[in-house]
Amino acid sequence: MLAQLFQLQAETAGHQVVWVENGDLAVQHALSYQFDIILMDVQMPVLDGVSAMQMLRTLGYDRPIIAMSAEQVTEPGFDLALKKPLQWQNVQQQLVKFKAIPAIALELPSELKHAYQAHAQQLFLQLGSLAEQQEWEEFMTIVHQLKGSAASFDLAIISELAHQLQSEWHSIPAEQRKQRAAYFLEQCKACKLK
Amino acid sequence: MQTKVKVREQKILLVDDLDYNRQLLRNNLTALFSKEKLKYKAFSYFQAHNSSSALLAFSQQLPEMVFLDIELPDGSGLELLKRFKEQKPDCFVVMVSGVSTLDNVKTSIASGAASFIVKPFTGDKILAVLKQFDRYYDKLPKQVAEPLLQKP
Repeated sequence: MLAQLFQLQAETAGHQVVWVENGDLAVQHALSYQFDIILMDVQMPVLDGVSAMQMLRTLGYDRPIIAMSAEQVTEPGFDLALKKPLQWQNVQQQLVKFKAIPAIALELPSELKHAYQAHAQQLFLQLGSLAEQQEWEEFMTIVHQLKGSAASFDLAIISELAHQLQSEWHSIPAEQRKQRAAYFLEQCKACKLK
Repeated sequence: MQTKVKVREQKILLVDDLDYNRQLLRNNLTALFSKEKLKYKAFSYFQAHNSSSALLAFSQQLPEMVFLDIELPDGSGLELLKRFKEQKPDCFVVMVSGVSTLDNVKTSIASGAASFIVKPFTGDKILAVLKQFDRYYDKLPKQVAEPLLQKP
């Protein structure tokens, strides 16, 4: 409830906000390096805010992490600690001290991009015949590879589709796998490569 | 002292089963070394496409930095990580994975990984790792860091 109000206020002030519900997800999101600031509640389920911060610092995460707590926060590693209850205006005054971090684009030479796309086309063919033979283990290994690599080569949609398929896969009944696999390949082919 | 010290090239080992990923990583490392203000930027590159070739390359080269994919065709990068840290405890190993589950991250840290990159690669993720390497390498005990500095 409070998080929602806070998010609304921050968005009204022009910030883009992503809210996650525990320290585990906070670590995963932070590692995307898409955020200028992390506001971290100290008391959270699964992984508390201090442990999440410490894990990120251990991994070399060097962007601002701000603690939010009703208690005094003494652990080193936070850039700032905000005392709860929070007033948006006070928070805003603190946030202006932190500058936006310019994003660094990935250098993707076009030869490399095209070489990868040709490789992906080959994989789709291979996936087609694996699906035909119902070799699902090998099929999903390739899907996993696509998920991990495609987005680095300007094919984020393919990664996303592969991720969707992977997360649904265990719940798809055996007799529907072929159909689902065909749908995946259709979607992939619909994302015109080049 | 700073003026006439020649720095020997440090070594980076890139381990990923996909050739394109290694090329992409290498391209971007080179780009960041030339564009960004980094202290250590003279590296030579070595590559491996699976666990067994990675083990061989590692023991031959004893690299300062490794980018190590967790999902390898003939084994887990997490197992390799342990072997690398046994051979060269001060090696800076960056785990790379499409899966950033807390288990993966925790196991990596526990086995001595210095950092963790979640695929897809971005410039920001790679740069953060290189900055961390600068800090890490500065802090290494002198007897380890010194052989890299040779007077001409």
